[in-house]
Amino acid sequence: MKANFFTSTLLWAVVGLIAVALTPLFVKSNYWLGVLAFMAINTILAVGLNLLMGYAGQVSLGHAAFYGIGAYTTAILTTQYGVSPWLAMPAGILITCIIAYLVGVPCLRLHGHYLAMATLGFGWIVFIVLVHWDGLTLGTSGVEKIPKLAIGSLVFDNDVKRFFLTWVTAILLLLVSANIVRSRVGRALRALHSSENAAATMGVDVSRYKVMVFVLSAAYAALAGSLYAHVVNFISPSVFGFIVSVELVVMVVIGGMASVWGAAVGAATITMLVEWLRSLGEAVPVFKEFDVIAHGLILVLVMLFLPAGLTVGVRDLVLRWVKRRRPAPAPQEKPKEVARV
Amino acid sequence: MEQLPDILQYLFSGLATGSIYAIVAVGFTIIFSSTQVVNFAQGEFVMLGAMGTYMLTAWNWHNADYAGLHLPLWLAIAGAVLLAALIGMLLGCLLIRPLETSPFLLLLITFAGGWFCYQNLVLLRNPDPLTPAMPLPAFIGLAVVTFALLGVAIYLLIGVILGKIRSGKEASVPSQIIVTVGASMLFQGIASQLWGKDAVSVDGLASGALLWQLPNTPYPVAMEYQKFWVMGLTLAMVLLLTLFFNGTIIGKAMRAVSVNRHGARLMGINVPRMVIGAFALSAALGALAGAAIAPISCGYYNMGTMMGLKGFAAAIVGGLGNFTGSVIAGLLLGVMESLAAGYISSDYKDAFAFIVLLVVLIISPHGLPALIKRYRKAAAQ
Repeated sequence: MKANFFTSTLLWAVVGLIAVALTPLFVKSNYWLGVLAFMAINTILAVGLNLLMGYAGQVSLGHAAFYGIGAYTTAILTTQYGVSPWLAMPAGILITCIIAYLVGVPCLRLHGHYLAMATLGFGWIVFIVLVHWDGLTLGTSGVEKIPKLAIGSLVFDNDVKRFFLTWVTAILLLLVSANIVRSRVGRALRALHSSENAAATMGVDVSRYKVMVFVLSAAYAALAGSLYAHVVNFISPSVFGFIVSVELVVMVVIGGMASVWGAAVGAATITMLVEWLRSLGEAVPVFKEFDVIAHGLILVLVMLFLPAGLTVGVRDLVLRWVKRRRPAPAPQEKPKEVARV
Repeated sequence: MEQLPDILQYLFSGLATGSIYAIVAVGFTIIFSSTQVVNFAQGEFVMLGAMGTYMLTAWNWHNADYAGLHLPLWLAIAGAVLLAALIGMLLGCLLIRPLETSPFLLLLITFAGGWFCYQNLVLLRNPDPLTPAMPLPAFIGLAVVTFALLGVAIYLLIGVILGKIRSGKEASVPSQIIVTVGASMLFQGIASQLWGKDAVSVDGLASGALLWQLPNTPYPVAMEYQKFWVMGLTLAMVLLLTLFFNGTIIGKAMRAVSVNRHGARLMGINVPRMVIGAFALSAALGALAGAAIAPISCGYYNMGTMMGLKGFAAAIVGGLGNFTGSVIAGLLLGVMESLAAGYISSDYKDAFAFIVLLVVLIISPHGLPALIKRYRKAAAQ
């Protein structure tokens, strides 16, 4: 089956890995390698959020909170308590999962707007705590000198190494979520997306699955956060604010919900766009800080014109174009006459 | 007795802030009940009200030798409210029938793209202090022409490229949330570009404070006159809205639309017009709240975020779509926040509203009215 071959996850993962391996040959600038590493972190975040939003259909407007909890846990454990990063990162993910579970169990009973508001409120609470709990988080000045990751004598201390670290992690996580989506769990999530009642009738434990995917997507965010902390070596609350939650939603939506690769495309698009706008702003002062407007405008326009997102929208466009080029063959035979009785 | 002035002070401030939350919550309610859309851009109307008033009074229109319009305050407030209502109508049009309302889309895009030229033209006009500036009428004329041309160009481009591929479906709930969040970012971005990022002081309807010395207490309670205005405006608005929704034919039609759209249509009510009217009304309410609170809290480009979110929290706590519920919840939220800021910690002031919200939602997923109803039912049995 041709179609199966081209949509096979493993194939795309191998292609992705080869592309990652070749990239440093072409991209020589450290700055752009840094941007690409950041794109990988955004990809992890978007793919995780997409599991929740695209597949299970649950809106989260507070996802940066989990990103922040993951980053801050590992940052505080390594800088203030001298814990090894390899222990601190799983600890951060574990703590985030516990918090996500505690928040998810009551909140996921809510639907639509109520859920959006509850997650948004949670995101703000976490942000305010990060800013004001000076004793632990050092407030707005942020946590500095977070140690670099190292395997034995291999220290991830330059941009090429960081680029590989983040992208290999991102592709592994993409593989994991592509497999989840194809499994029984993925089918259950899609079922409860289209109708919770119908899913429950078919034997899907709706609330259990919802909490499960919520915790899973929080774990993705926490992993991205701890990677961010160890790659950038400095974190401050502003990286985990409301606008970041919105930006994550933008990535998922732009990429097209209900497609693992779509989320990756969305993350890549938005990261590049922000970067491009920033360099534009430096060159032409009029365009300075245009990114907020651009985000808003893009969100509104994409939602109005391509409600299914960029990947699905473009795919449909191409399909339609192909169809127009090769008009469907006329029906070969006339419908049989109904037998007269 | 020692504590009394403090408590009264917190209650007074809390009621004033709570009034604003109540108005914003009512704005949410009006839009939600007529369209089932939660408008995350509601807070931006508060900002537009504040900054619009500032624009029509003290702002100097990016022009060094021009001292600002300095319209009378009531006229400036009316202008800001009108501006916000127009923008609210645009947003409503975009949300309910994006394709048919192409003229409105044109306007929005002109508005969004036009300030770019505006800024460029400002640079053109004042390249450096030494060269003589272009005369103001010529400048305005040039700006208008550029706006129009740019708007038409972008509109045609988008219309030709995308107009044909858009599916005719009405936007789903998540995408409506996203469109309004996007619109909110858009408004904030434009505001920060237009009016800058610094907080500005806006004239109030009254200045000074009433000092109320209670017997046997160490210091008086200070009650700013502007806060009386805020509360009075809220009270007036609640009364007027009650009259409007119960006594006028348009208000009744709007209520009919919120009860059953198809039924209302069968009764000959123009549903889209009512929906756009609801957007305009709620935007105007938000802007009035913004103009009223700005003299107390200053105006700045992202003041709408917190206002909108807390108003939304009040609307949710009061049961989404419940008019009385959202007014009461708004007032309660304001008082609670003020007391918590005074007695627990002012650092975490903004977090209290959200904690209250989460607790209410966890206890009763449909807000307080549902809880009260359940309690009454249990009591009756």
